[in-house]
Amino acid sequence: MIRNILTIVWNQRRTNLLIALEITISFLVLLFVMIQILNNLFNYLEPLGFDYANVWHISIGGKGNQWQQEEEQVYNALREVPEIVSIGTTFPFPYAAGWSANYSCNGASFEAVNCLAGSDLMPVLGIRILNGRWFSDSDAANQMIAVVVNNVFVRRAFGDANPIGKVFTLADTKVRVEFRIIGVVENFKINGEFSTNNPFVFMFMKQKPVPRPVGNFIIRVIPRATAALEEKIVQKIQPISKKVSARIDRLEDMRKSYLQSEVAPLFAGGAIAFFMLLMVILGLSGVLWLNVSRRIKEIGLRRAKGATKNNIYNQITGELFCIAMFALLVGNLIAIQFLLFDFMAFISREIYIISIVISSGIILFISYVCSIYPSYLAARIHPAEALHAE
Amino acid sequence: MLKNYIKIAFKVFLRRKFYTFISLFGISFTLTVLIIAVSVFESMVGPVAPEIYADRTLEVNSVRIFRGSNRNGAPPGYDFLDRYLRTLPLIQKASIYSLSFSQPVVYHDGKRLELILKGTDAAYWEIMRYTFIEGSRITEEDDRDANFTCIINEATRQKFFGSEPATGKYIEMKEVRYRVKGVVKNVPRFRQCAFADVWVPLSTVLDKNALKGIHGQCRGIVLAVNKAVIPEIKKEYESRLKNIDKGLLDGWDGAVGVIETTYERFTRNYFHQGFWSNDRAETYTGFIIGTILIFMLLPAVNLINLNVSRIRERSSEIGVRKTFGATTWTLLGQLIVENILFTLIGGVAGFIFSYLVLGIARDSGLIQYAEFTFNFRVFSMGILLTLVFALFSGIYPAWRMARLHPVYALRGEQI
Repeated sequence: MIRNILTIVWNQRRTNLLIALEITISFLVLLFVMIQILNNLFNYLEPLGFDYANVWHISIGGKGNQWQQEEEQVYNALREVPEIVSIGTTFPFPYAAGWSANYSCNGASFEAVNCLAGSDLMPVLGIRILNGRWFSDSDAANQMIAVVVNNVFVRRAFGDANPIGKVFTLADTKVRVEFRIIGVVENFKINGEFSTNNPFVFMFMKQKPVPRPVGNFIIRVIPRATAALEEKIVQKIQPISKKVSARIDRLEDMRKSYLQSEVAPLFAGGAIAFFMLLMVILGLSGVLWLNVSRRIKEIGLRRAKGATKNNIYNQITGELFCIAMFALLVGNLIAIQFLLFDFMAFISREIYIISIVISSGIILFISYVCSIYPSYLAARIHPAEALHAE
Repeated sequence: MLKNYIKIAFKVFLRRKFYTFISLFGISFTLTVLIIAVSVFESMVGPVAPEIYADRTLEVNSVRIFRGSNRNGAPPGYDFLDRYLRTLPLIQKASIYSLSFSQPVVYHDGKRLELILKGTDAAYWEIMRYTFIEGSRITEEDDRDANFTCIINEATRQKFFGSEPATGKYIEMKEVRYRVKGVVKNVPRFRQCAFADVWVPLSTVLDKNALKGIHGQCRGIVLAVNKAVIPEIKKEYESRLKNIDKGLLDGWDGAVGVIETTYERFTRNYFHQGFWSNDRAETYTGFIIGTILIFMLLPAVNLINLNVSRIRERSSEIGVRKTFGATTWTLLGQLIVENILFTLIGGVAGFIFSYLVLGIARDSGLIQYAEFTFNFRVFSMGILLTLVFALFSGIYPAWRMARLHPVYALRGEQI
């Protein structure tokens, strides 16, 4: 049976090669889309590590740089608003562009995203400590900069060892700064849901005497606060000085526009890929259907010689299956090249391999779907009718 | 002869309708995606109102200063642009506009309104040709006297005043009251130079302390006298940066930067390239062509497969034609014309579908004030892509069909 199918496929090699080419390209297109989808999905499933609900960001714009005093007054004014649950300082803030730097830690050297954080940040963003502690004001007295890192950082640098109290530096040895780990948090994906769960470093920001990065506060307010509260806060800040103007952005709004900008291209790409596959399904069915109608004589002869309906059905399905296997073999060889030469370094190996497996499965399924109707037509051919077709 | 080809072609299309549908589905889908891409691209960087001179407008969006291996890139400041941009040769107009880092949020009737505000000089309104719904533009005097007047877009008028005329009414932003002088049609957010919600005279928002120095919160645009002098203007600008006044640099070693067309800015953002290299436009053009061809590959192979398996159906016709003296070339020509005709039908469907899809995208509000153009350039590009696709997918099957040997063809056999 299999030898028979192979012979038939081989005899029509020129036509079948084109079909195989179509399947190979479909596989590669599907693989590309699958990698994007799975990568984003896996990232999305990783916990965010902070709570964005009811968190607002206040940026204080001022003319010139000499307004540290006003900053103090703004802070005090904010503390008087009863609707504000807690006030924290951080820079940059979630859903805005993050910073990153290369660190060398415990012999390993890698890139980590970082932000400056005050001792008051933890309750505002609802950060959960896994090990050690969060910053306290007494950390300002230390020579080394106190840092809190996330679990990915720990895994990358220390494996299972206890990281508390360990010291690391920047990869650029010209800058002599030392960081001491005082605590570990779980994930912290400052750039948002779809970003990779990268190593992360919170650096302690001394509040006094060195000025914190001016102009940024992050506050947690009572649930269901309206624009009226925003206006109230802005109006409380405004009279402090002619030099100062405030702007409030809700993390929820920033998240919404972030998600929109991330999902829209995925959605567009997914729609294009869907229609492409639909086109391939229709196209392959059409080709197979025409091939079957060309082979009425042959199939009639087979039926007359005793082949059952099932045999014919399996034969037509088997032929496309055989071509699809060959196409997938070629497609996988190409896909593995990408893996071997690390063209896809930004994608984890697991995601790549899972994508290959899923895409191969979908392609095999599609080629089966394509052959259902033509095979059914072929199996229905009546031998007597077929033999006097001419 | 062509009339005969067309007649035959239609007979063939109608012979197996399901089959024709499959082919048309593939063709129109491919062309829909491509035409959408062309229209979006044209809407983003093409010469479309208000940026009708986009093909000879040059922008300065940032300047980078360096000292050793330290680099610092930011938007240029007013003084720098005033000295080095306004005085460029071979330009018709030069404009400086400001785009502040902190944009105003206004609370109106308990609602929160986020606005994008630009400070503009008079030249800005001559380079950008907005469509005014009411009132008039910012003039030389407005800028000179720092009149607190503003131009708003339709959406902003709707938010503040409903659909009533707004001219003469007041808007308060950042503790300053501005009198509305005119209302213009909305400009899509993706037109970086032209987009804003509110435009005010530049002098009313310029921070006097921040005038000095190379960096600030300004952007520059110049209108070249014609397209041909653009390279000369670029060269002049770059050489001016090389010999920049050390007083502006504030201790830094030097400055680099480019003056670029809208298209170049677009490609620079796309490739995340720094502004010190400006030769990415060609790479990007190659990249676009490559992407189009790769995108066409699967639909083309799909169509080739369908056409090849159709050879049998027409082999007796081809056999007869050949027996009566038609050459391979004549047949090849006929079959290609047939395929072009077929693809053009798909192309028309593609235009209709892309118009519908873009209409949905516009109304979804996903992109602020999005507006997609279907001008002559988009249309001709769409036709060109249709022809490329027709040739891409038609030559191989036509060649195989035309080469059929008459003897075998008449017997209805496959080669």
